[in-house]
Amino acid sequence: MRRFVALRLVQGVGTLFLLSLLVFVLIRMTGSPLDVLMGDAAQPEDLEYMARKLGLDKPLIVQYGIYVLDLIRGDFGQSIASKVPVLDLILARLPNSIKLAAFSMVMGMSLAFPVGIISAVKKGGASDFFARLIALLGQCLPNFWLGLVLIEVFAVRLGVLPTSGMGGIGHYILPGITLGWFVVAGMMRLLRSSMLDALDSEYIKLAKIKGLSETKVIWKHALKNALIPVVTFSGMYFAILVTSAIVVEAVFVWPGVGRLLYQGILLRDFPVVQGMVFFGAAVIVAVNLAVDILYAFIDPRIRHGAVGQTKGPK
Amino acid sequence: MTTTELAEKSLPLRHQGWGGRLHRVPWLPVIIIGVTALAAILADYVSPHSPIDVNLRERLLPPFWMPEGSTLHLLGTDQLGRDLLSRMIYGTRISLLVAVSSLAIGGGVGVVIGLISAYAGGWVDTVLMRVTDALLAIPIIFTALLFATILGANLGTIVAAIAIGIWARYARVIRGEALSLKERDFVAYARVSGGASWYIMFRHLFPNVVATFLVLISLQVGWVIIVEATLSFLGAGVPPPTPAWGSMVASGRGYLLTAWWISLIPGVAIAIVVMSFNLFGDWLRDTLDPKLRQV
Repeated sequence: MRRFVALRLVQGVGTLFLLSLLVFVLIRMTGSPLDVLMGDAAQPEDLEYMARKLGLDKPLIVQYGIYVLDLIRGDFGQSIASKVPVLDLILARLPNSIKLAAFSMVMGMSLAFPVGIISAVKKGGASDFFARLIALLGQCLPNFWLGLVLIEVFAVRLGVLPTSGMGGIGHYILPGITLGWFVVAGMMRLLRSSMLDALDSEYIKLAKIKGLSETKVIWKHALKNALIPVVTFSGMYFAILVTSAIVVEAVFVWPGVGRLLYQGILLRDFPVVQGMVFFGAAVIVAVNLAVDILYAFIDPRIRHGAVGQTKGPK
Repeated sequence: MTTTELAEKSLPLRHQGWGGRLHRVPWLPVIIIGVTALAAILADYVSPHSPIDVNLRERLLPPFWMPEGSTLHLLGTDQLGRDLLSRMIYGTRISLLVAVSSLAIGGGVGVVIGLISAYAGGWVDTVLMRVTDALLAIPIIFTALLFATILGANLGTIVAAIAIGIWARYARVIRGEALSLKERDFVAYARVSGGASWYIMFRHLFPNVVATFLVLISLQVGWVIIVEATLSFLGAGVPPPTPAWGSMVASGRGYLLTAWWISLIPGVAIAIVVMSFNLFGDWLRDTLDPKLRQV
């Protein structure tokens, strides 16, 4: 078990290293990193000062070392637009993003679980149709577009909900639906198919023959096993949540980290974009690690390496 | 439980549920894909107006079915008076070009690396698979946004960013297939009769993974189109005035109150095209390679 955790930890750190190497190479490829960092308006004296300050006169390998050490300390540099350290910008907006994400997850999952389960039990029924529709739309609608349609219908036409920004509970509903939809669509689909598998298995037949009530068979015996794949892929759903949040916050002008990234892109504020990407990647890697460890506790086959790499859609 | 229910339950899993009608060519999606491809190729001939010419006297015209709409601009015009239908038609070029080239590059690299990894084994395999694991953990939007801000947003950087993000998935799946193929007799015969490694890889292993490769690609086209649209919506796509569906949606955001069609029509097009590619991919998978159902 300890070996397994250590291995996964090394893999996670490796991911972040690879990302840092990619960024480092990209920046060096395009010429001096100062062009990226300082923008077009920088004076020659400024460039020289920054070059010395950042150690750009040293050999490349040393420069990379400095770069990685800065990243590890959470020093992503200063925002070009606001002259504030990027980490401060991120931490100031993070609570807003977490609030929105938590709201949409609670709302989405309280819908996904009952609908996913019932649609498997009553295959072909009304809730099955509903579940399949949500899953299908979740696969092919762009999330920014869904957000705009919701604004158009509920905020502009009907005028019942605010168009954007953060405020009372009403402000959470439209972005919450948009964000929740894309995470929940996949989860519902997975839960439905693993529930169908479970209901088809021998132990469920046995439970039925034993004379257990339908409710007990479904909610206790089948659901328990159907939930395993959902746990396996929860790291992937988290990644979808993070990337969708960028778009949703941009659409609804939500003062979170996603919008920070969006503004960084528009202003070509490289330190902000870089900081956000590393921050997001680190959080995703950490969540994946946590899921893997949790999963190894639940299922001993994993920690003994009997099951191969987990593979997932996209 | 009725007899029909029992009969349904005893079917293999892939005959139940989402797909249902297997091995039946999904004509509607195929036609939609064909029309989209034709629009992209023949954009210069079929589009009624220029996609970038500004005409301020005709700005914010609604689509033809609305009271003030005219058949001169079937889908209306945007805030600069540009014909939306023409912009939509030219927009197919960006969507399809990015999808085709990034999948071709990313998929091609992935297949080569997957084959090498499986065939070479040992430390080569270990190193390559660790790199793919690392890449699979990073959302493609992230790498693409980094590319766009460092290198500047243009067609080349978008394609490169998406290709770098997706080759790992191909490498992983193809390696898995090739690992089992490697143990088969025909590979052993080829080796005994003195075939070089690269020859065995591309003459004997590759033809056997082509089906898997095509299925994976067809399943990802729709998704890549959404990624491209998302990037251009976020301002990290092909820069204006070149029309791309994502940036068209973004440009209409300020006009939801007065001219909803600027934003909403391109979104409908994205959804329809993506759905068509997904349905087509599902069908191709069920036809060529039902094993891939879980991928």
